[in-house]
Amino acid sequence: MPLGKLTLPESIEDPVAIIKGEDAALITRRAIEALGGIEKFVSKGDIVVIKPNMSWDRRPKQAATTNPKVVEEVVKMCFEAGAKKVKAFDRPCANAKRSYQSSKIPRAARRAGAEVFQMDDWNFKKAEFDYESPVEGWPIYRDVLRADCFINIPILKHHNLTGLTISMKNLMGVVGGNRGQIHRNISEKLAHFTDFISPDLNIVDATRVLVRNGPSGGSLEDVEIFNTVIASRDAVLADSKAAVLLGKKPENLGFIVEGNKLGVGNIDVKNKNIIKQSL
Amino acid sequence: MKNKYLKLRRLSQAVFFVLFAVFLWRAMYPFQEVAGAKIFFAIDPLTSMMVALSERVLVPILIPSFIILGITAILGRVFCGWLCPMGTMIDMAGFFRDKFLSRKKELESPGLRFIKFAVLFIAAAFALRGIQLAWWGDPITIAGRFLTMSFIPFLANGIESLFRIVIEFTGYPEGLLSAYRWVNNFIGGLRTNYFPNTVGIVMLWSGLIFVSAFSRRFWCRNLCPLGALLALFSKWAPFKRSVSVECIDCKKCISDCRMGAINKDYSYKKEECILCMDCVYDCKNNATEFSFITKNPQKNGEIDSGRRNFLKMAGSLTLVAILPGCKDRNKTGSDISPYVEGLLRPPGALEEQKFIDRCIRCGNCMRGCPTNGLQPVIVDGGVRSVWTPKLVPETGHCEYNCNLCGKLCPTGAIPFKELSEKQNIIMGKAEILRDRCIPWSEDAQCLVCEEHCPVSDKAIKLNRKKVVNGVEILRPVVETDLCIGCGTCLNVCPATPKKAISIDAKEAERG
Repeated sequence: MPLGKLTLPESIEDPVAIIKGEDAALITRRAIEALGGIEKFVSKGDIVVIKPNMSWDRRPKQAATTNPKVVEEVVKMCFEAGAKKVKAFDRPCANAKRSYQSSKIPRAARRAGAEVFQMDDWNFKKAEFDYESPVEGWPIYRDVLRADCFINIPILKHHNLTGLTISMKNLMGVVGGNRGQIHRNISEKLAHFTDFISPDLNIVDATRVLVRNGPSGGSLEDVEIFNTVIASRDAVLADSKAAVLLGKKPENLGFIVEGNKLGVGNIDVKNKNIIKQSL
Repeated sequence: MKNKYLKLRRLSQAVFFVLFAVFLWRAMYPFQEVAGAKIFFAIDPLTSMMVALSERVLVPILIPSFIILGITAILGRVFCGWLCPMGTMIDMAGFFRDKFLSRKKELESPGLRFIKFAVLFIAAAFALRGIQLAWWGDPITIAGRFLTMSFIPFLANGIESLFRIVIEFTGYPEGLLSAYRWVNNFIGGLRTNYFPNTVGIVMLWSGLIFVSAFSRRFWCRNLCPLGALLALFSKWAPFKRSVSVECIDCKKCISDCRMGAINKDYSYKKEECILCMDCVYDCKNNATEFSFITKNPQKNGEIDSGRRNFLKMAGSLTLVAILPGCKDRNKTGSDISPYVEGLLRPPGALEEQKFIDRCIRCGNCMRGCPTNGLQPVIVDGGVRSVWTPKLVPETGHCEYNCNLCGKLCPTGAIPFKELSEKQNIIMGKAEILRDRCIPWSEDAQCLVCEEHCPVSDKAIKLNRKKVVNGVEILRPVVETDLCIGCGTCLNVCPATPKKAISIDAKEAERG
């Protein structure tokens, strides 16, 4: 996997699956199957890294962190495909111990056999680009870069700076350094991080969505039920479709526009590559 | 048979020392033990007595210490010989002394032994005047503070660094990383709290250890105020050592006694005996025994050499107690202001003067703090504040969903509050320094402080807007009524080199 190199030729359009249904685990499974099955992404003996969103000290129903059921199902599927090891971690904004515990994700992921741990501040590697990038040299977690397969499992929610936080923004959880400073020109930087980290699969949890006061929220009044999971190899595309789900125009979201412009993904694809299902 | 007691004593020392260390190690978030880290401080009669004297209150949490006094009144100073973790560490030092020190002769005199009583009574006199000084000399606290604030961080960071060096050197092999993560998880986190300035803490502890060069258990014989207190209580203990006529005058027990408590005629100073059972073990003819009733014919009567000292003590204590100068300091004006400028105390800590008197500087709260934000005061609070906890938001904020410091405090200097109550306690008020704040001074977008503010409805609001080059820049404003001064915004503020937020402790709710 070449890093920091634009890997997506414009002619190739990855499909995106948008699956609706009340059973979070089931729609997660269907979404991955719609893309051709987990075997397309995970091979036998692979070391897989999954990156759920555990960024805030919130309980699952507060919808600031990824649905543990979605995470658990992805871990199960990885092992079904013969993965040797599945690792899960995040670099939370709030206190790490608190955020991990409150999200209930560690318990669910461990139940399915994953290794969950807190990130060590000495295990980062500097990003290298073969073109000029504003995030040249930023530290990225080594386990992510060395993984055979990296699966990004964000939650879709409101964000008061970027509008929404989805797949591309979720990658900030594997980025080190002083993240506060990424907030300047954040859209462009997110596009570059997406290119460098280049997740193999993005699974957007939109089962329940924090529609206001993101990214941390807290009030259940701000949470709406969408019962949806969106999956794609293309992070920009997944984000674009997730935005549409909330009734927002992808063209108005800076990071999607920048991602499309840089060529790390597509803001939209031909209809036949959009798989919609309702269970 | 006779070495049964010796083995039992060693086992007891080992068990209590390990428990002490494990409880302190485990005193971190999320905290699950019921008694855990508090128990050793709670059973310490010295701190409970000094706190009671200085505040004229009986802290309910410290009542278990009466059990120790009760046991001492019946059996003597078993606490010192069988339980005290500092005593165990000193015994270990004594082992090395015997092995490596060529000068075996011990420094010994009744005058030296008197010092510990003097220390106790000076501390008591200060306590009566409302100043609690037990934290300077209490062995449990000195041992706990050293382990918590210096040794455990050193050990944990050492293990982590060792792993890190090997892992980096060998090119990050997956197996080693897994092993490292397993160890890390097993012992509850290697990245434990770290404290930058513990020189004084280490020096005080090592002082207690290194005086063993003068004699075995030098500290316990001559200096320890807790030992002195227990010595007073052991005076009339019915459990006694006796030497029968079977004694063959080998003098081994006299030279072996780590407390130097056995007189030349084989009688002993009961208040100096810590029941280590060495003399029973040494006794060639099984002539020495400890019991409630002395059956066999005795070699000699018990000589009460300590009685004179004791009477002096009791007399002076009474004198101090009835001194007309003993004022109830709750009624008089305090020479300490209700807060110290720039010093943020843990949430709901007692008001300043009470706080520094109640706090025994055990370090539990600082070890437990999940963000490492609680740090020891070194010089910035005056001499009487040394090693009390303060919140340093630059290092770590007060975590909104945590009330562990109150849970771990053995004396109630930080009273325990339910989470919902603690979340509303005001520790200070934040202020945005507009000349440093990025949106205010540079017209650039930043909302990190608002994003992280844990207060529901946000105590920082982005409600000042300014349009710069067609882009709407949101500027943060503190809503003083909502702010609890937890320091989260200050901690995350990306402004460099100096943070654009300060927190003023003036309006803190104490007690």
